Amino acid sequence: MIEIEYKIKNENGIHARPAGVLVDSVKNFESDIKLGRMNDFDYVNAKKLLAVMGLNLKKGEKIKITIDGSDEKEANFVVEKILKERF
Amino acid sequence: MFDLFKKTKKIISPMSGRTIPIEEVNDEVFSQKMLGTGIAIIPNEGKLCAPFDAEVVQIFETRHSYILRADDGLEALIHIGINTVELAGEGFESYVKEHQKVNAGEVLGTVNLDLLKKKGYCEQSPIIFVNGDTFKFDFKYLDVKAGKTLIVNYCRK
Repeated sequence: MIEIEYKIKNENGIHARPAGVLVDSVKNFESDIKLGRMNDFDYVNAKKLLAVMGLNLKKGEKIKITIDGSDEKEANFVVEKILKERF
Repeated sequence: MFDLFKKTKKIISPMSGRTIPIEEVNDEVFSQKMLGTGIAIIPNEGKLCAPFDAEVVQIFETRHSYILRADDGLEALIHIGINTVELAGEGFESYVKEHQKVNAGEVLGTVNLDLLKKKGYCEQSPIIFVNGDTFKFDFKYLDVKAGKTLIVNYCRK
């Protein structure tokens, strides 16, 4: 399992555009990919748009993403790229 | 197109104006259907109505987007304007609350379209069916009245 920690830098928080790009990019990985606030129990499936948007993540919040499965290395590469560019 | 033995349901336009194919929206996240299939409205009035009987699942805090769920499980994201999250709520009013049940045609909120345009935002408003994979859709492209004109027929696959 791979864990990524990240602090949201997007001025507008994580709404349709960044959430959509993430979900669209990870939905075909076999790995289980979860996302949520650090130190919280609200982890959601990163392949579900409404779940990701529903977190209502704002600038400055710290999040954790866990990736677990046979293609976790490939998924990790994609997720890190999207975090850097969109989140 | 539709199987006679499956129940076809109707969606009415949430805004007045004109409907266009989602592929014509000036934003690749919507036009490439990254969020799902759908239809877009070019509104000429700021009133937003419920397009079907629904539960309000989420209203983003800036009130520029709504997520609604129908009894049959269909989930729609209504996004008023493009990039309008940046307005941080300016120009948007909402009259409903999350988890509230609404009837088709009921007014959900308003947007100040003049303000949107003055600030340089595109007013195209996509309706995205985020779990549309399990449904078939027949989209209608025409001039529409909020809460009146049929814009989509759909049924389960």
